[in-house]
Amino acid sequence: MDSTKKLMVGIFVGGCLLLFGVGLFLIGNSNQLFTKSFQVYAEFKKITGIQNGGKVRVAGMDAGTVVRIEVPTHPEGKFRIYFKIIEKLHPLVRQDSEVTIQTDGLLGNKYLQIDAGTSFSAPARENAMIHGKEPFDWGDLMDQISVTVKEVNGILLHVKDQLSATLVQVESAVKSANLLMIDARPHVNSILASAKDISADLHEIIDGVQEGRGTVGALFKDEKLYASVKRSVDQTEVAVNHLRDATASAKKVVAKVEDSEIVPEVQRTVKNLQQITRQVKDAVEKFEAAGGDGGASENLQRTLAGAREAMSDLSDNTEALKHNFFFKGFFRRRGFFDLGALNVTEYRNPRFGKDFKQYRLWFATEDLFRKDAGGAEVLSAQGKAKLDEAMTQVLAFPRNGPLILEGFASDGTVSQQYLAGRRRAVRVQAYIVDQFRLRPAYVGVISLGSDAAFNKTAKDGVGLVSFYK
Amino acid sequence: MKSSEAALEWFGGMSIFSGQVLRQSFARPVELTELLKQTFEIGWRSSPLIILSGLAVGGVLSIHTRATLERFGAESMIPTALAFAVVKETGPLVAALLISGRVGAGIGAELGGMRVTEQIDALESLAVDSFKYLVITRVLACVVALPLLTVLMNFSGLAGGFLAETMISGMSFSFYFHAAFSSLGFSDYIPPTLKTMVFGFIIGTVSCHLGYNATGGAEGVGRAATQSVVLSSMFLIIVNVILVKFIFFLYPGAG
Repeated sequence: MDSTKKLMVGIFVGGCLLLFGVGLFLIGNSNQLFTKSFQVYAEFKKITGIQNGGKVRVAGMDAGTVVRIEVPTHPEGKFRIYFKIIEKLHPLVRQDSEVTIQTDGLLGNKYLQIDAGTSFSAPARENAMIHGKEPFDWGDLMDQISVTVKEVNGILLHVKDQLSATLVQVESAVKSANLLMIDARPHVNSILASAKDISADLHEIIDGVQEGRGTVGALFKDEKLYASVKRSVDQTEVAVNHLRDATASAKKVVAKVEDSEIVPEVQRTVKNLQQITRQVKDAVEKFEAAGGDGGASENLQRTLAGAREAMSDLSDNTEALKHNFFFKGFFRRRGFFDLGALNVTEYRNPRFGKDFKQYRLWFATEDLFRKDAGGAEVLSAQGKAKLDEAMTQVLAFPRNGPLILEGFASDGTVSQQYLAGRRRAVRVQAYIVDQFRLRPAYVGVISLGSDAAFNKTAKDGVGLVSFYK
Repeated sequence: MKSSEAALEWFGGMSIFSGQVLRQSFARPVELTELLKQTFEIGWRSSPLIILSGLAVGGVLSIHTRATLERFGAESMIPTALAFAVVKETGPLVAALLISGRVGAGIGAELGGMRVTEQIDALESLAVDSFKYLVITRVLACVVALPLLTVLMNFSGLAGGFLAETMISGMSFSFYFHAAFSSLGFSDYIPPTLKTMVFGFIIGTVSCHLGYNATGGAEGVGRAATQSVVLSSMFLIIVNVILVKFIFFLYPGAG
């Protein structure tokens, strides 16, 4: 074998070995085997495929490799991954840096990503632990989503059931409330009517008192009466002095009486009274207990009925008060007690309004009313204008007497005529009371049917009679 | 039945022959001159074939890889994918198959010719250990040359890939080779390269066995040459599977 061939073999072997060495160097260089590095570690519950020799990147830059992975010795333990990082990047790896396991591209290998820490934290020491953030797992996420969806579904079903039950209860409550309101409406209306009457009566009484009419009014306004009362008070004072003397004498008498058998008798009487009171109290309590079984609706109805009764009684009382010694003078001088209770007979009586002058106006039905869609008579715009014009004349007179609206109607039976006439008068009353703020107690309504006492030719319409002094 | 017996008989003779090769390889004296001569023949003379094949294979692999990775917008991964393909499997196997075709046939024909022309008997009559002189040197030359040719194949394959890539996308040399080796580990590089020593041993042993024991004149020589290529290639592929599993067993991260 000549030297040329030996040389060629040498070149072949040497060249190939050199290439092999170059390959080793390039691989070693890419794995930072020939650069100074430091070692740290991180712990993870799951390492999701990271392997020895796996890449380590600091802030995205290739920085080292995984050196070894320690497997936990118990189920609660964590994998410990040791990895080397080139010294050049040590300033970025701080004690507060965080390690995550990432995937290189869509299908690439797993690698460790280290986020650069903050300047407030010291650089990580050799063999120190860097906090590992558990890898994101789509499977876990899907499991969690599945569990969450199931829980939400269960909650929604529960809420749906509760909502349905609540709606049923609300519907039931609304029905009960509706029935209650329907049942209570007549009572409430009755109470309001009574209250209205009472208010009107009180208003009248107070007006009378303020004007010095009646006994009580005289007490407030009449100076002679005041002087008389004052004298009476003085005399009463003298009488009291005498009474005091008499009391002293009476005490002596009482002392004597105490010694007699009268006192034990009185004590027995008081004891009997106390016993009766207790029995009454027990009876009331039993009654209240028995009343609690009927439910809120029945209690409310009972309460409303009681209130209605009370208001009715109060109305009666105020009505009676009007006829009382102290007040009846005022109402008699006024000429009427209650226009709401005025009947045709009283109205026709010459004594009604005998002390008043009268101012009369006549309104034909066709001038005041029009028919609505239901065929009922309602005030027309023209009618309202006529009433406004007429009231400006009426209000020019002193307003110290009643204003009576006479309703007339000629169609139908007598009762139909009465009702139609009253409806017409009531509509005019409602309008003028509201329009001119008149006191309702002074505006009365009377239906005279077809009895055209005022106008002999026209039998359908409303007559307005103003009484004044 | 007769053919299977013959196959088993041949396999038994082959096994004994391999054992002799292993035993004799470490026994003195070493026929260094003949070994260098065979290394020259097997290694040096195969280099052009390996380099050209490597360039072609690398270029083709690069083109195919690009066509696939381009769909995912991952052209930057071409060097990495190519390096993995060439260094881990394509380079060693293609190099071994090429050597099997070129060298195996040559050894089988050469030794077969020497056997039928009684040249081996003549060497024996001159007190020359023909086995050591003819067989061991060729087997050792194959064992030595195969890893070196594989390294050559790897780099020429990467170079072919680079040429293809730089012509298509203008990728720079530094980026290409940095990207190619950045994802490779030593376990990806050293075991696949060294496993070709086994390939060399198979090629050398099978070829030498067929040629050294050739019978039947010129026809036997031709049969020995053909069977050398066929059987050594077949054994290469089968043993490659076993070796890959063995490497994975030794280096789990090499997968």
